[in-house]
Amino acid sequence: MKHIKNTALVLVMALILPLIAITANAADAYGFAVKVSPQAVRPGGQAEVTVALTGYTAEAAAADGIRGLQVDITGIDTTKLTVVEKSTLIVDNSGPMSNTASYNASNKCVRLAYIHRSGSLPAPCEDVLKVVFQLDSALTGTGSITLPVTVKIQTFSRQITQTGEIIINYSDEIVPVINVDITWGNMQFEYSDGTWNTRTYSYDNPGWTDNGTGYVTAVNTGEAAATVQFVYNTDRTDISGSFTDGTSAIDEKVTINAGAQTTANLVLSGKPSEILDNTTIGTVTVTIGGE
Amino acid sequence: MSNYENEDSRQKKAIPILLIITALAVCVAVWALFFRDSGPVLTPDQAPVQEEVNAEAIEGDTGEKMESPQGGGSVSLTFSRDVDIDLSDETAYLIFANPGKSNQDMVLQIVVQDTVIVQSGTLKPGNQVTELKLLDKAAKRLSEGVYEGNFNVLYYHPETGEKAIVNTVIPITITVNE
Repeated sequence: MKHIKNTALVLVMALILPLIAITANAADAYGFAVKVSPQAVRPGGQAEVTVALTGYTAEAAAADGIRGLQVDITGIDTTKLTVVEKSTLIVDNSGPMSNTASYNASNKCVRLAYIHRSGSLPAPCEDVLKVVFQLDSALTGTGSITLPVTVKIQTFSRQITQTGEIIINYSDEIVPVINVDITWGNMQFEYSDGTWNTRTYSYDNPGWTDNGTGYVTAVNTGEAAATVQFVYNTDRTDISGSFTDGTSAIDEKVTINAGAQTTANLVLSGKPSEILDNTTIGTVTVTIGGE
Repeated sequence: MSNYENEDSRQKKAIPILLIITALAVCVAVWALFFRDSGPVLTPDQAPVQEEVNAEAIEGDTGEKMESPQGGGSVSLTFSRDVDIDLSDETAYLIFANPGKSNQDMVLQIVVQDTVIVQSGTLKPGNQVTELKLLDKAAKRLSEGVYEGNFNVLYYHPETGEKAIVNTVIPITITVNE
């Protein structure tokens, strides 16, 4: 009888121990990594910081899911850095109690707070927090700014606290590089004499329509602000063109900050002096300037 | 004086004139061949068949394309507004890229005071240039110093080679060194 009891105990232990070991290993494997882009920034430029979880795979989450996550980036010196953007990258549609990124200037801290009361963080999950910093343009020379990071992870079975740092390198010797994306419609315009008015014996509402194709959009995908100007070029004297933003005319340069965009709609005026069929009547020049 | 003598005298006078005319013709031919200004560089209406020889693939470019409207176009530009020109090797040193997400081929011109001094071959998406050769005789028009100029960026449909209705001008600063 005693022999049977011992065998049963060994069997039970053999079944339970691996589960305990998996749970412990899963939680131990959780960590975090930091990415800074670009590797070095010009003063006045922007650095994008992404904090990512490591080891949070579907298997690890099944063993011991994350119910709470707090990421603190501290020591943000506002004389050198401005927080331009902070956002959570966690996508969780299951109704977490909290999934927000916030910035407290007096505490010099950006915080991501994720809490799930009943469920856990969907797995796999890597990137959790994005922060965009703008470096002060008065910085000179070459150097770096270090920001401490603390990540607290609450799983179903334990709490893990890890620390690290973010290093933002800067140099005023970096050649400033501008990145701009430009998209344009097929610019198909049609002229109509309008509707014949039998009372006035004239056409009402003559003019051009573009069916939503006469536009140019410029997106600043770089780190520094840029300017754009839209110009319609033609040798014709019967048809002229100008740009609007939908409500008012765009005659001057438009400043687009990093990450922002602007769209200019081409508006034609003037009655064509001849029949035009798929004829190019002008071109558009987009001039991209610096800050 | 006989008619024969008159004819002989006229022929003798004509010889130096013919020699002068011949010499002038030779001078004009030499000038036309070697010294005449070849005129402004014209912008191609179709993309050059020749791809830019200095083009290099952009490291790590995934080539994932931007959305492009039907019949329209979409391009991405990466550049620096500072250009250096070394007259000793007649080369412009620059940063200009046509990232892989673009949907158009590009031709880059560098223009100074309405004169095109550099014109690249076709720059396909996913490629960049850090140096371009000056056009013939462009070096003779430049001297050491700083110039304000422009990048003139022309877009071409990658399959038909047709020039797009939109182009881009980028003001740049050019430093010329001897």
